[in-house]
Amino acid sequence: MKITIQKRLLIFSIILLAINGFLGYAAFKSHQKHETEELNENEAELVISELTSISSLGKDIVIASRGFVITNDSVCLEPLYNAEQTIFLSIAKLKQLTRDDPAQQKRIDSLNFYMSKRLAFSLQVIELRKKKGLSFAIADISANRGWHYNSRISKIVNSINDAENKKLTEHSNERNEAALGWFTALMFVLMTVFTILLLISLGKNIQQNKDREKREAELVIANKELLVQNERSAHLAAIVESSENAIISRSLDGKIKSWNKGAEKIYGFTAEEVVGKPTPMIVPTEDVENINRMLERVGQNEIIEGYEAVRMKKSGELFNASLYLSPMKDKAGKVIGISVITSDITVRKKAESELVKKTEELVIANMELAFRNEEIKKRTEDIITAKEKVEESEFRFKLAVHSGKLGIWDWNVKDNVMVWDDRMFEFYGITPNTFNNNIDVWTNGLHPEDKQRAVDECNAALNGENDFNTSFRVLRPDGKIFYLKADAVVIRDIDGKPMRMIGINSDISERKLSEELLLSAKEKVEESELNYRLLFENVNAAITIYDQDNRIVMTNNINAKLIGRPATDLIGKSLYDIFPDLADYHAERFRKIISTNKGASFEDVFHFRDGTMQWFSTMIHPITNSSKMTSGVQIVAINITERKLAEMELNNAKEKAEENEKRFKDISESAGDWIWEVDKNGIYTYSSSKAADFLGLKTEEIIGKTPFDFMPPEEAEKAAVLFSEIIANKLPIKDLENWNINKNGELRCMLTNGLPIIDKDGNLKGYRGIDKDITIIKNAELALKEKNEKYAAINEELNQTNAELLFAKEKAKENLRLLLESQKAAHIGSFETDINNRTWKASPEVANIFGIDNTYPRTLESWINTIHPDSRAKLFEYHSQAEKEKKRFDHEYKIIRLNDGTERWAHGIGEFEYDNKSNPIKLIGTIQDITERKNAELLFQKIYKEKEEKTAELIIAKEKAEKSERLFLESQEVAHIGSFAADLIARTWDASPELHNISGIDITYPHTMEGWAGIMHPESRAPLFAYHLEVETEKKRFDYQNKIIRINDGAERWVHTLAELIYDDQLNPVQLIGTVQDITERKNAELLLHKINEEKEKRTEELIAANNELTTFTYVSSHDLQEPLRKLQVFADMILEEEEKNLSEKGKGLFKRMQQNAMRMQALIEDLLIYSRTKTTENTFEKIDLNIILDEVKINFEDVILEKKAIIKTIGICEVKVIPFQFRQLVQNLISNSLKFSKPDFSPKITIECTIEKGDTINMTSLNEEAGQKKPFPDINYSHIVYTDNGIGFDTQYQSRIFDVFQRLHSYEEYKGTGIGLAICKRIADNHKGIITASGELNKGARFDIYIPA
Amino acid sequence: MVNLPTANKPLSIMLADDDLDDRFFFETALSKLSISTKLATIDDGERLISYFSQNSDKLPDILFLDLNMPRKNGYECLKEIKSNKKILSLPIVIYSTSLHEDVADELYNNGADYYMRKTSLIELKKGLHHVLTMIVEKKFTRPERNKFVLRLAE
Repeated sequence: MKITIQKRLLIFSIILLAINGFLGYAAFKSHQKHETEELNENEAELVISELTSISSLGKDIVIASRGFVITNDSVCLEPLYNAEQTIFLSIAKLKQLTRDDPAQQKRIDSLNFYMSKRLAFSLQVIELRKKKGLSFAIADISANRGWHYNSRISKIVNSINDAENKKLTEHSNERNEAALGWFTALMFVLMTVFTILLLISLGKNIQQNKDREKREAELVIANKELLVQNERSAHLAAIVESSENAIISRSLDGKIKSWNKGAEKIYGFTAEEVVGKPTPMIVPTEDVENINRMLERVGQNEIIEGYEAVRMKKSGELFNASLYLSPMKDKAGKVIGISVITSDITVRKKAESELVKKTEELVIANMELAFRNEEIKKRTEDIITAKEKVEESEFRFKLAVHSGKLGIWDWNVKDNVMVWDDRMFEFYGITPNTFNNNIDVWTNGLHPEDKQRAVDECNAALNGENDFNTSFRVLRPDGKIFYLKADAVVIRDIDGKPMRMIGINSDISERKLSEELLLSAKEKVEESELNYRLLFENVNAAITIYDQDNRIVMTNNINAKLIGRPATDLIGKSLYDIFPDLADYHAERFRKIISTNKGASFEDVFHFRDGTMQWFSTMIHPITNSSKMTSGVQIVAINITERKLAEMELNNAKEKAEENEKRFKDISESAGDWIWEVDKNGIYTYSSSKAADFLGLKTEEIIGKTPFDFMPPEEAEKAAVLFSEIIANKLPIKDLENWNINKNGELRCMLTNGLPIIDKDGNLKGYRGIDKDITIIKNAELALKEKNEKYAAINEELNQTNAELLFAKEKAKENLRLLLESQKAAHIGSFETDINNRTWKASPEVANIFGIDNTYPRTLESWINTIHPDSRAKLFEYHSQAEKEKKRFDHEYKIIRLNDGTERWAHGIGEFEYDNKSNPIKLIGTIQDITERKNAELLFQKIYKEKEEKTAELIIAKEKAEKSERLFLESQEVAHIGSFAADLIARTWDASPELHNISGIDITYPHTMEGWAGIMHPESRAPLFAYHLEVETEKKRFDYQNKIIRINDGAERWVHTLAELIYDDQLNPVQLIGTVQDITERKNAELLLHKINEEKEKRTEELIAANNELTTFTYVSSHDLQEPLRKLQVFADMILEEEEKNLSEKGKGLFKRMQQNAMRMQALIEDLLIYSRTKTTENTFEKIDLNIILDEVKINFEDVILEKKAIIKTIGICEVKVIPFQFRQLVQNLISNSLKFSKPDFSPKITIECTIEKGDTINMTSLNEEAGQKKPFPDINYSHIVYTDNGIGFDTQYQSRIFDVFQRLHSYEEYKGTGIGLAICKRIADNHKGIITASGELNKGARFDIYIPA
Repeated sequence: MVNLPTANKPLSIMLADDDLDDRFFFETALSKLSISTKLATIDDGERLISYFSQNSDKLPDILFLDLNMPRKNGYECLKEIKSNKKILSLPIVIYSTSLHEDVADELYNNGADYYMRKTSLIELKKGLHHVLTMIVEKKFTRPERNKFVLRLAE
């Protein structure tokens, strides 16, 4: 038999199976044994691990609950909830692990019990803390129940632990065998798997062998059982491995022997990395010593539980760990190793440190709380004391607050707490609900423009720099502006720090509004009212405006006519006066409209007294004022009687249907309104001829169209919506206002009314109705609305103006602030007078006000002594009046402060108390020293008045000026000023008595324009009228002087009229007001003066002309005179030369003398010529060196100088500002003199010296005042030229005359000369605004001093 | 006497002056001189100018010019002569009564050569001798301003 491969394989399998079977059996046996041991050992370790975990979790619970109790912070509870979830799982696990050990099971049961108790207790305490607070929770904890459970748990844990440790020690020796068992098992498994695979591959072939089959099945079952066993073992391993804790065993020499998954997870090292190695890097160096000591202790068979240390992960990260160290012993009880169970307690640790932190915070918070409590207590005491202190002043203020508009505020500066009374809320326009009680409530309320200043002032007050006395504006949330005056006192603690600030605000908004401005405002309003009224009257509707009290504010004539009373009679009348029967009905209507702020329209029928009945379409609209508050209603009533009648007729017609249709149509044609019919599609089927009036369309043009065809697109859309609704409900059309476009493209407003036409079956067939043209009314309404808005705007503007005015006033008032500085916040004292006993008592402040002390008698008589005599009578009168009329006592009067005798102002406010018979028994009230305020007020009034006067119209100022001028003149009894007022419309005038005097008329004279013209001088009339016209057109001041004829004596008089034209609002002149002064005397004097002046001018002109003529004459004559003279000389020469032989000696002599005279005459004429030329105003000044002039002059004298050997020298180079040719003449004349008047045997010596001198340093003694010598100007510099010679000089007595014209000191025969030379010098010096003086002595030379401005 | 070059040809002198007496004095003074001269006189400026414009090739050796003349005065004549290229080289001596330095300035600036005042006959002779000698000796040159006005010691 051939043995197949299959058979061989089968045999091989069988052999394998046999081996396997054997192995399997052996392995099974061995495994069963070792596995049990291994399992037990693992279980013990797991139990210990779980126990560690449980006790750790138990601790978590304790710490968490305690933490929460202290901190009330739910974060603390997290570990507890975490523990709650896992601890019982751990216990269950523990119970499963020890299922074979009944003793342990029991212990675990009791652990479970106590743990539940412990947890329940913790939760209970937590609940307590949550609901009742710390003290309850602590009380509960201190009942020690928690501790009791803890100690029980601790004992149980220890006993379980001990039992497990004991087991562990027992199994430790067999661990190597266990390892072999594991290997055997592994081999078995491998073999089995191999075998099975083999068997499967051979499955088909093996089927045949039943025996084999059977064995095979048996094997499979056995294997299955084996697998189950394996699974179970894997399961246990998984438990160990799945433990969250690190379970490590180590030998005594420090090598790690086992390392579970938990350890891997916690430390990060894998088992391969650490097993067998001595010192894994999990212990930080700081802890090495500690842990060695611990290990030593464990080595001595000690168990260390809950050792908390820091451990290190592979990553180097540190974490908090709780260690459980226990010895591992062999059978003999000898310690051979140590097991370490480590749990990561970072979370718990974190919670703990959180707890510590929280506790610390809590302690600090508590301390703070205590401190604050103490502070609050102290402050409360302070406040109570302060309250007591201010109780009196509060009483005082009470009255003041209620009488004056005062608000009180109290600001606790330290804590920034603000307290206001009700008045303050009124002022600032807020409610206590929106009141955030700190200073912001004040600053937020301030007007933006005043805010910074007020806050600065407040800070200044807090810093003690100023008292807080100020005023500011408040911008209320409703937009109103309040003007408040504020005074405050700062209360300080002993260190001077501000504690509180108490003050008052008073409303000064209403105080003294400018009457003028109000007046003008009123005028503005009246003006707008006028326009408004015109509109009113032009509307074909009755219009009435009611105020909120249902009184007529305004109405038009149409309405008045309807009511049958004149419009003026209606104003102010109540609805109840006008419609006594229907008033309630209307009032309710108004109320509804006002409350909803929505207009409505109605149809009313009125029965008039004459028995007629009229229908009105009444439109009522609310009127809102500038602050958007409804202030009344406006009613526009349109008489619709006609329409109504037609409508009624329509109804009749409808009832009578077809038969009456013709009549209806007739009526409709004749009715004032447009009557129409449409079908159910809105298409016109009938239209009365009125359509022509309304839309400008013929009936044919309307039929077939719809109403919407005539409306603007927008309006049509709107109307269509309304109509569809009306049609759907078959409603009547009532007072539907709609806009249409007529044929001319104009907008017309229709008021449409209509009734549905319904057939017998109730189907809508169409509508029949009437339209009324209300365009005019509607437009008027719109205009009215616009006017109302304008009116509101004007009001707004007025308010604005008022506000501005107030602010301007406030600015003025601010200047008074310095004056008010001395004023204290409030000097108010309270008093109580017993009227029957005639005594009084008062607070200390009253004594201060009156300047009295405690000894001063408190009687009525002594009180009277404090009253200023001026005020007494008035005060007593007021007092008795107030007493009688039972009104409040409120009076300002003067007092005399008794301690210093000063006059003060006091303000007393009080209330009388009456007995049951109405007799006054007491007066209780306050007295305030208001001197400063009063003074300030007076000053303010004065300043305000001044300001008012200043800002008054120019005309008033001018009139005043004129008036004062007039008074002044009157007092001098010279001026004759009359005043007049001419009415340019009525053409009449009024005059003062003085004007009558001036005009010479009396009261009977016609005071008309013609009468006035009659007074005017005929010459003056035309120019005066022209001037008047000029004044009117140029709108200038009338200021004119003209002649009049005085009526009573016909005298011509001059008058001066000063006047202003007064214009109406269209700028047409209506009045001329002014003064007339008789200025005849002045005018005459003026005229005379004018005449004299004219004459003077004329004569001056003549004089100038004459002078010019003279100059010309002098020049021409002297020039022309020379010619014949010269010729005379030449002829004489020629005679002497050529006819000498024919002449006798005597004849020759006579001829020579004639010749000499001619020469002398020529010299005279030449000098005169020069003299006259120097007078001309040729004055081109040049700066020139004196030496240049001198050189030029020297040339002229060249021969003489040579002949006489004259020496001319200059000292210093002198620049002079001169007219060169004139000054040359001067020098020439002087040198000429020096050469001429030289001493016979001496050669002439001339010295010219030049210096600069200031005017005031010039020696005046050298100047000759007698000769009218001018004085030098002290402030200018002069060139001083000193000219000296050594000639014959002159006698000092002549030194003043030497400069006169034709002055000669010698005979012509001695020294030839004309006597004009020095006069020319003098004139030249004068022309230079200079001075020339001469001095000298006979035979000792002459000296000339010349001063010319430099 | 032998040396005088004027023996053959007398100096041609022109005097513009409207005053009969002065013309007489001038002639008299000229006649007393040893210099041979030929005098032509013209009594108004207008005529003087028209003469020169027609006879620019027959110019005198020297012109004595009075200032105060009818129709065209001496100032105008001076200006017109000095602005005419053909005749501007003609020596001109102002011969006048009055003397103002500023007038003299103006005349000097306008090109006049000398200024001779009408004074005595003696002075006139001296002046003429001085000026004419310069012409004869061909030494006539325009002087400095300070020598413009002839001042001859008596």
